Amino acid sequence: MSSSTDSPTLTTETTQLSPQPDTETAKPTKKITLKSSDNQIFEVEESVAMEFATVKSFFEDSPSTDTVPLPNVTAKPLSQVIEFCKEQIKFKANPDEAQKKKYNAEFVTEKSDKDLVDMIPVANYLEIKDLLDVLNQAVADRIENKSVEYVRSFFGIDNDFTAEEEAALRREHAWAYEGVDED
Amino acid sequence: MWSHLPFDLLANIFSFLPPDSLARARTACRYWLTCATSYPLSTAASMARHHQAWFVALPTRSHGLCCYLHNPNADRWQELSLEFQPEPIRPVAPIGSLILSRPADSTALQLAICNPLTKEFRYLPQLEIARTNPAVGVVILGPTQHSPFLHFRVYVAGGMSAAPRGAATYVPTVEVYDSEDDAWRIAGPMPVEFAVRLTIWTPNESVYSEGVLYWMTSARAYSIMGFEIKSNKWQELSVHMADKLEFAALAQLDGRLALVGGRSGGGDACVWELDERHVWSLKEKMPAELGRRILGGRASWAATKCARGDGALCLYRDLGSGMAEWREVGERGRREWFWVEGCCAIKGKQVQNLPVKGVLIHPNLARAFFKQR
Repeated sequence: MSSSTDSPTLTTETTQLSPQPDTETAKPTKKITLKSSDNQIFEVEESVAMEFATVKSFFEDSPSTDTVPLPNVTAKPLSQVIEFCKEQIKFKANPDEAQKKKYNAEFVTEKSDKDLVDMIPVANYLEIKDLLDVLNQAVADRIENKSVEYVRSFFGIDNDFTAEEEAALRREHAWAYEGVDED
Repeated sequence: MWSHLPFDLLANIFSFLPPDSLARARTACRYWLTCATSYPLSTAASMARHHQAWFVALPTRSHGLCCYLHNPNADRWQELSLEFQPEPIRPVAPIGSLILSRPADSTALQLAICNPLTKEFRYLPQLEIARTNPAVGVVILGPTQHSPFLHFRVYVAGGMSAAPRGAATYVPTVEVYDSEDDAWRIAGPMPVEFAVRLTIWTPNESVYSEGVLYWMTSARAYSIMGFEIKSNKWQELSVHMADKLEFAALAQLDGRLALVGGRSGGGDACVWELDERHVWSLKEKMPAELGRRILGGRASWAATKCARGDGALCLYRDLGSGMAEWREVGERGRREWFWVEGCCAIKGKQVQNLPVKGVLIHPNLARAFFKQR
C-alpha cells in the first residue's frame, strides 16, 4: 500500500519487493545516496534513510554531504535492510500490528541462514533496533534445539577448544545437551 | 567474523536464546564462552520479555537432591541435580531466575536463594528475631543495574519466638530483607491478632499487588490477609465463595489481585479478579476438559496446587499428572490455556510420580549472585 501523500499515478514501485538497489524513477521526495563498502550506490528516500540512526546522525553532523559512505556494510545485506525499512515506513503511516508482524515473519522466513547472519551486524551498525530484534529472534529460532556443531556451522565458527575443555563445558550443563535435534 | 563480533552485539543475540540454547552456544568457541560468562548478559526484565517462564518441580519429600525442569520450547522434562545444595529445601517463591527457599528440616526460619541451572546456593543472613513458621512475602522492585538479577525485598511477619523456659510467644513484628543491602531490619509492629493467624494458618505464598502484600490462609474456609507496606496497616479480605472452594490460591494478573479456586462438588476451576471497589468478579473459567484432566478421576480439587509467574498460572497436582497452564500469548493481557503433559519419563527412563511443589522461573545461566559477601 502506498501512503496517501503519494501522487495517484500508478507505478510498480508500490509492490517492489526484490532486493534491488533503489534506483527508481524520479519523484519529488528527497533522495539520499548511500555507498556500500563494495562501492555500490543506493539511492533511498530520505524518510527511509532516517530510519538508520547512524545515517541520520551523519547528516545532522554534516548536512551538506550528498553521499554517505558505509564502510562496514556490503551491498547485499544493505539492500535487504533497505527493503525492510521501506516497509516499516508504510506501517508507520498506517499502523497495523497484525500486518506488520506478518510482514516481519515473512521477511525473515524467506532469507537464507547466511543472509540473516550477515544482516545482524549491518542492522547493529545502522542502529535499526526493530530489525535487530526481528533478526535476533529469527536466529534464536533457527538454532533452537540444535547441537553445538550445528551452531558452529550456522555462524561459521571454528572450534578452538581442546576436547577436554569442551567435554568439561558439556558436563557443566549436561541437561542442555539432552534430546537436541539431529543435524 | 562471528568469532570476533563486539561483545554487546553478541550478548544481545544471546539474550534471545532460551537457556538450553545459550548453554550450547557458549560451547561454540572461546570467544563466545567469554562473552556469555563475562558480559552482563542482559537484565532479568529483558530476558523475561523474550522468554516464557519454566516450571521447576521440587519434590516435597526428600528424595535425593534433585528437581525436574520443564522446557516449554521443546516441551520436554529434564532432571536437574541439586547436589550442590547443603540440604534439602522447600521453595518459597520465585525471584526472576532464582528460587527463594528454606531448608526443609529447620524449625526456625532460615531463607536461602539458589539458581538451579548455575548450581549456586547461598543462605540469606539470619533474621533479626528468630521465628518459627512466620509468613514470608516477596516484593520484586525491578532490575538491578549492571546485573541480570532483580532488586527484591522479603517481608517476614508473625511466627513464634522461643522464649525462655520454653514459653513460646507470637512475634508481633514485621521485618524486611533488602537485596541491595543484604541485611534484615525491623519494619514495624503488627497487630497480635494478625501475627497469630498468619502463624497458624499461612503457607509461605504471598502475592504483591499495588502496594499490598497478600497471604491466603491455608485452612478452609479461606480468608485473605493484606499488609499495606507504606502505611504498615493490616486488613482482612473475604474470599469469593470461600466456603465452596476446595482449593484456592492468590495470583497477580495485570497488576491486580486474582483468586484461583476450584468449586466443590465437581464444579469448575475459575479465576476471579478484585476490582477497585474490592469486589470479586469472574475473570476466567478453566475449560472443563482441562479440569477433568487435572482431577484425574478424583471428585475433589483438594490436592490441586498452583504456581504463579509473570501473568501466568499453572495448575497441577503432582509430578506425573500434567499441568493446565494459563499464559499470555502475543499481546499483554490476552491469555490462553495449554495442557502440559506430566513428567513420566526422561530419556526413555520411567520417572516415579512424586508429590512436588512447583515454581515458575525465568532461567538464567548468569553466574555469581548479586552481592556475594
